[in-house]
Order: sequence, then C-alpha cells, then structure tokens
Amino acid sequence: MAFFVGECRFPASRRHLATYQELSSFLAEVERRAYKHAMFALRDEHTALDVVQEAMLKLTEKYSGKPPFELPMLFQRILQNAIHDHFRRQKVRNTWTTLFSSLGPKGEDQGEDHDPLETLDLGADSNAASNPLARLTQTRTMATIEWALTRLPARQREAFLLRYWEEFDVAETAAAMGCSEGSVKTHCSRATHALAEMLKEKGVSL
Amino acid sequence: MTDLREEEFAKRVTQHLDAGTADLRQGTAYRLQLARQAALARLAETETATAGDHGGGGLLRLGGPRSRVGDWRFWVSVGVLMAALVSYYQWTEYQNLRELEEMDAALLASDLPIEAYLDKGFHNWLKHSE
Repeated sequence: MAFFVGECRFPASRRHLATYQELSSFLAEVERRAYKHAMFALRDEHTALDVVQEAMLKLTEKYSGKPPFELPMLFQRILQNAIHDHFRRQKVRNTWTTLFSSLGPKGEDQGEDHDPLETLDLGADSNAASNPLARLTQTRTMATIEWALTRLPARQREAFLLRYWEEFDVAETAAAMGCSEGSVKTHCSRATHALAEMLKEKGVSL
Repeated sequence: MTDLREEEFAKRVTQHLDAGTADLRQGTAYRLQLARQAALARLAETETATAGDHGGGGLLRLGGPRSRVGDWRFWVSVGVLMAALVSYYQWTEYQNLRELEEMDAALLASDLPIEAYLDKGFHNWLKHSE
C-alpha cells in the first residue's frame, strides 16, 4: 500500500485533485482488500460485493474532487459506514421478521459456529501439483486466519485491518474509525492477542 | 507480547491476507472489476453532466450534480416567479374590488331604497315571486 497512504508521502506539488486514471488505479488497487474487509464483517459474498460496489460508487460520485492522498482514508470511512448501514438495515429487518414470524433467518446465518476449514476450497492451482503439502498448509493457514478475523469483535478487526493491512498510522486509523488514538492502540493490541490465541488453538504457527 | 512482537505477528498475518486476496475466486474478482467499472462510468457521467452545466442548462434545472444556489440565473428565475405570483394576486384582488364596486353602484342606482334589501319580508317576497 505504498501508493496513496499518508499525507507525509506527498509533497505539496502532488496535492492535486484525483484524475480519472488515479481513481481507477486506486480502486483497482484496493478492491480486493475492500472485499475481504466486507467479507470478514458480513460473512456473505454477495452482500460483501454489494457493499464494496456501494462504497466505490459513493467515492466516485461524492469525493472524486478530492486529492489522491485523501482517497484511502475516505474510501475506508465510506466502506465502514456502508458495512454499519447494512447491519442497521438488517437489524430493522430482523425486528420486523421476528414480529411476524418465529422462524426467523436462523437457517441462513452461518453464525458463530461457521468454520471455513470445513468447507475449504483448495482450488485448481497448478502449484498444488508441484508441492501439494506446502500448498495445503498455506491454504489452511490463510483460511484459519480469515476465520479468526471473522471471530474478532468488529472494532478490533477494523482497527487491526486498517492499522496493519492498510498500513494507516495510528492517527489515520483513529480518524477513519472516529475514535481516539488510545482506543486504536488498545483495539489493535487486543486483536493481535486474540488472533494469536485463536491460531494457537487451531495449531497454526506463523 | 511486546509491541515489536505484536507488529511482527501482524505483519505475518497480513502477508497471508495478501496471499488470500491474490487467490480470490475468478468470479469474485470479475464482479469486483464490474463494480469498479460501474463506479468509474458514474464518474464519467457526472463529469459530462458538470461540463454540460457549464455550457448553460435550463434556468430552473434543479437537483443536478452541483447545487444551483450560487448560480445568479437560479435567483433571477426565482425572482421572476415571485413577481409573477404577486402580480397575479394583485390582479385578482383588483377584479374582486371592481365587482364589489359595480354591485354597490347598481344598488345605489336602483329605484328601491337600500333599507328594502335589509327587510326579511322583502327577501321572502323575492323568493316567492321567482
């Protein structure tokens, strides 16, 4: 993520408004990570894709006139808001559903017991043939990490991903999350410990 | 876990996450590409609309991609609309006044004294005579 993050990386001469090409490059660079962010929070592929599309549309519609160095922060804020909005809408829907029916959407919810290791898709990668054991180990580790991230409390996951994956500094993470820098440090530390504990329980060492 | 070890651990986690994004299913990657293209197409539409705006749009075109509040033409058209409404109101008031004047003139010019119109018996006689 050495492309846009951090005001300090941009001299004043580069603080122009984002061009179409810059926006295109930015979106191409962040789209997969954004999808994963949404997947960890929402645990549903279609919903995650919808939320990412919504965030992209909002960025290009409302904030295309911003300088490029502001895009990562803006996009993350938009994405997190879109995820929160989805949960709010879901909460309202569930309230009405439980009012009219006792069945509810429990069957669709993968819930806390969802374990991606049970439905691990190893794919048809050609490397698997050359070193299948290494490939399997890597895929299992990846799946375990992603599963552990879905189990983290939302704010801890958000702080961890923004701070370490998006490479925001503490102040930027705090601004994107709308909390204090102290809270970011606490969330990150707790998230790291919780992840380490969960990976250890699953027998995964990094 | 010290801060340094935390960061080292987080770095290893994110390396695996990066590998995970590279291994995204083709269908998912394609849908993300479509989403990006849709967003960029919307941007192109917005830019075209903005360019059209600068070229001169309709006077009362509201709800465009940019606010018309700072546009003098918007305020001129609001002023013209307000002046038209005030003129219409005054014209109808004047018409009402004219009708009342004509009625008063007719009453005063008639052979009947005004007191006759205030008499209930006269009203009853008018009704029965119709």
